[in-house]
Amino acid sequence: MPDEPQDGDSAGPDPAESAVSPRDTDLPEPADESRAPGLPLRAWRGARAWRRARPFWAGVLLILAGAEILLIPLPIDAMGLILHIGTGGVLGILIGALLIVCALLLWFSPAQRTFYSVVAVLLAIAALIATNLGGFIIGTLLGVVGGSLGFAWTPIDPSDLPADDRPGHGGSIYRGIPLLPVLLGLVAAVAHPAMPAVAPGQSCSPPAATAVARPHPSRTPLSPASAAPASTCGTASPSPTSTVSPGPTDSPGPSPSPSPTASPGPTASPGPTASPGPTTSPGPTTSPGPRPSLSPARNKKAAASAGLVIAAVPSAISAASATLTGLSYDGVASVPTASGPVQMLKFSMSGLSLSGNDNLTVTQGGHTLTVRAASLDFSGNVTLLTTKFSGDLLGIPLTFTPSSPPPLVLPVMVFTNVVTERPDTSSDALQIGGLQITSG
Amino acid sequence: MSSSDNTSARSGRPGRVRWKRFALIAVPSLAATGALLGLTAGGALASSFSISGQQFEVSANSLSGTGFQQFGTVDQEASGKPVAVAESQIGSAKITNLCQSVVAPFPFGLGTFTLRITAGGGGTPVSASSLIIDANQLSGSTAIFHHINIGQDASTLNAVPGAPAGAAGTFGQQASDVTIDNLQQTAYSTSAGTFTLPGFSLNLAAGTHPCF
Repeated sequence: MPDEPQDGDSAGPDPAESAVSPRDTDLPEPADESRAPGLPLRAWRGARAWRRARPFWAGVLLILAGAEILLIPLPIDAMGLILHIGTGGVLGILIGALLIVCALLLWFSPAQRTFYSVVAVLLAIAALIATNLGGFIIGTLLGVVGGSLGFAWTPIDPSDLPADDRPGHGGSIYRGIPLLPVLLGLVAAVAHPAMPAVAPGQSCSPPAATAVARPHPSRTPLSPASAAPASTCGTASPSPTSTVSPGPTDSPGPSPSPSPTASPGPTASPGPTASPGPTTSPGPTTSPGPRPSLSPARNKKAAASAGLVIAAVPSAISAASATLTGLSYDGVASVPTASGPVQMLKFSMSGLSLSGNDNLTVTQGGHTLTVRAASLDFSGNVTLLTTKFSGDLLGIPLTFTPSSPPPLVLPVMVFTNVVTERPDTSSDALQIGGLQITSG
Repeated sequence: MSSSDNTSARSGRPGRVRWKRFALIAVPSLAATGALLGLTAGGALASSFSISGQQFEVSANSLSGTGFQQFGTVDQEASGKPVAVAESQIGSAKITNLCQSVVAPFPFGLGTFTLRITAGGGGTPVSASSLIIDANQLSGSTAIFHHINIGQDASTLNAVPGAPAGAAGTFGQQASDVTIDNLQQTAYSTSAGTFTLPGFSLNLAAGTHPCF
């Protein structure tokens, strides 16, 4: 301390140091210097001098505010790509980054502190509307307080000292300090869980790095015209209704039984998967009188809805019981998927009710998406496309596939233990009771 | 000792905070903040939301939306762990008794705290546009959809114009509208273009007090 005045250009420090140092809990400086301070102490003192020569705490608060506002929306998906982020996310990242920039400018260019401080305060207030309520208000408050501190910070002019507002001088810098731990803890707590989400650089490595096997193409917004696969559906008849070609075209069935009137019993389905017992089951064998849709089922061709592309991943709907009303079997449709067309049975109904342990399971990319429901009621223009439909009809297990389609269907059928694979179901309305979706 | 002097010389003159000057800008700014919050709580001012990387809970007495689509995708937790989620996209939604909570740890193992926002309880529902929620758990007592198609390729969904589509080949569903009662979701990311929050209240408390 005694040397200081000899260093010519530091006119200010002496009174300033002496003005502040009594409030420092450290040892008084002259005592230190007489003991030839070690390197850590000198570094500490240098850092303290640096800190005092700029609106340091203003910058700290603004950096915390910016980090908090910025980290909440920062989205990184498993492949390191930025996902849907929305206006609030973009603005959050922008405002957060600008607050941090303001803080750094306050530190390294303190002469323009008034401008940076006002900008920071305005940004913090704008964040309230623009993004997550300004980081759930915390970021906004930190930003307003930090910006105001920066605005209020002034270099000490020794000539002003006596004239300056004395009471403020009494505990000036450190009066705000007790607030800090509280604010810091608050912000650290909020920011902490999200903290590792930074370092986007490393996580932006090529997608192969992660364990998720499913290719994850970049997700571009879907413009109405870009229903790209629609072009592949161009082969299908544009009419969404079931255009049936009843002619005896090439039947894929292995055992052609061309007589359409034959074997009305459901067990007589020629497919190899059908239950072998050709007997009994008096229930639905019925008199052939009404004969709702006893057409040459196996020869039927149906068209899927124009533009429909169904999922290419394995999925299944299962239910303890399914009631199909107003049922008709429309034929086999060739339905486009991302990995080529798939042959599917097409059924139309006026209503489809599933009850008891309804489960829709989708397996994709090593993950399973499960939709559970107590009841599922589809009504109005129900269409079911499926690669395989199995269930018990009056206790008799049946399986229908495009190669062994149902020989006949009745207007109302009740199946139990139903499983449909790769289903695509559409309807005018769907009511779900006890819905539960889990993903894991 | 001269090094310390040099440092302080290089660093410039020390300064201090003049608290009158502080109040000059802090007071009107805080007043403006309060006024904006008041407008938000009155439903007059829409906010914009985007959260990700943190698990949170969302519940509502009812949600009714126009334009709905949903598909499976993978998010990333803050720790970097991938989380399979069902992404729901809703063009515009009305939500009654919305509650959203985040339970997060205090640093240094000092327990947990809960940030909880409620809104839309006083007769005026919350309204949201371009709502996207990635949840790995979703439940509702009843759900009603119209013009629904379940099972189509997630990249071809078009019920919510402008929403980001899912990956080609994956399973998706869409409907012209949706109503879900007693909705509960455990979510990992959400964003909404605009959100009005009538009757909004934000509550920060120590401990674990999720919405459900």
